Amino acid sequence: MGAAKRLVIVESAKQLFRRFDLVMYLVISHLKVNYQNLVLGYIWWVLNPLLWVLVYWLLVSVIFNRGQPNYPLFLACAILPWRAFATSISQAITSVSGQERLIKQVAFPKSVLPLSVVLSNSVNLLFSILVLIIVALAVYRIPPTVNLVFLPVIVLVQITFTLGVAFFLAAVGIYFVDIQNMMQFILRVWLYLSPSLYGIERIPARFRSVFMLNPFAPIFMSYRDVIMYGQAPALGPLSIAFLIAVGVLVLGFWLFSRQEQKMAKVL
Amino acid sequence: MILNPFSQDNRCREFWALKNVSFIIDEGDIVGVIGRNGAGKSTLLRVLAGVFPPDTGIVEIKGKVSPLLALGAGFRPDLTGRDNIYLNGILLGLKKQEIDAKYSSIVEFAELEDFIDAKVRSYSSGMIARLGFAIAVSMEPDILLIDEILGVGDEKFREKSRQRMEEFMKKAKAIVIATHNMGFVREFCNKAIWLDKGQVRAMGNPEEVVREYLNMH
Repeated sequence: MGAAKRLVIVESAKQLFRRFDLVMYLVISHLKVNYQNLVLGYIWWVLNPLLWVLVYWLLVSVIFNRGQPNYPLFLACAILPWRAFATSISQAITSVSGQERLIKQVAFPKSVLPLSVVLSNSVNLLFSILVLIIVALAVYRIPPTVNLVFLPVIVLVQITFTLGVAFFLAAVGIYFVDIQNMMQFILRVWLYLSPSLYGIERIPARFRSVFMLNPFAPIFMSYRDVIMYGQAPALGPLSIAFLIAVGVLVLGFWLFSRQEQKMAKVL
Repeated sequence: MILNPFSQDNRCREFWALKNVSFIIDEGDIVGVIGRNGAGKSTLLRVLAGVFPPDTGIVEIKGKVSPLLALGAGFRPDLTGRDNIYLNGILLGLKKQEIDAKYSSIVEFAELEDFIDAKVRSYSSGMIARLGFAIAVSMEPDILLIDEILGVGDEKFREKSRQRMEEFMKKAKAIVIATHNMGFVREFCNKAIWLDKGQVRAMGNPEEVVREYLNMH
């Protein structure tokens, strides 16, 4: 049973790599379909998080007067990456169940569907990071430092984790359509429980280690370290987040590949 | 090139869509699969396409299989015909360079030169079917699977499709077609399979199989 288990996940992974050109085309199609014009499309994608930044800034900084220095940038360094994660997993849920007709007609590795969803949102993530660096310089006079070189690492941790969750939810989404509604709520709470609106200092010391188990805690803090404070991210917590991310990816992909065979029948 | 499933069963939700279906297809065969709706024709094609792995039994296929995507199931309405050709082609397993090479002949066969850069959502169902057929055939598969599509398109297109299918036969390929069109089966197929409730009721000479089927109804 153990050997058979491993075989399915390896086979699925191999199939996925073999059909990578299909993934690329799906990513491009995804970006084109949702956003007829790529630039305009990005503007729509980024409008939602920017509006939330405005709301939180008004609420926390202006009304409650509890904001961090440079609060809008502080917020954006978390909200924009979060947008990539939240959109990825929301779209991942229906990525397979929404392609019922196609899946019943052609044989192809279904894993390309959630993968291309995550990758296309990651394109927007990369763009957003660039925007953040430019805004940091232009508006807040924060010069870029050599520590920006850590950004690919942080992005890698985020994408790895996102992929794992995406595969998991794509598989679940076939059976439980309601999971979409649940996820809206879960995502919002998750965002508030991460150091997005506030810094980690606000968390009482005794809860801090549990708090840091949320991969987005080190992820958000690392984005800020690099973009706002020009320092290297704390590699300890980030490495742990990476290990958790890899674990989630393996688990998520394994679950997905186990279901993959049945998908055409169950839909 | 042999297609050789033995004892192929296929289960959907504790319902066996196909049971003990066993046959061999050789090069040059045009196999007509007939039967009432729900008999398992589409399921059989899907097993051959690799969409459903059989629950028991083996499917052995030597060569490239191409399903004919029903009315452009793989098409994204918000993309242009051009984009969809590439997307569908890659989905069916072609490489980008191969699609580049075949692109103009696909557009020509589908007679969509003037519309290829318009969004597919503006296409009629006939145009979609033509494009789908053009892409599937351009793949030059060894085995072509068709699920009841050949009624679409006008007379001229149907004639072209028929000609293309005949060219196909000359290249010693195989076609498996699920259809209700008994005339087609009699005229073009060299083998027929009658599926009834997932089982093979009759198999062999098309004239005889069709007669048996018609006698039952």
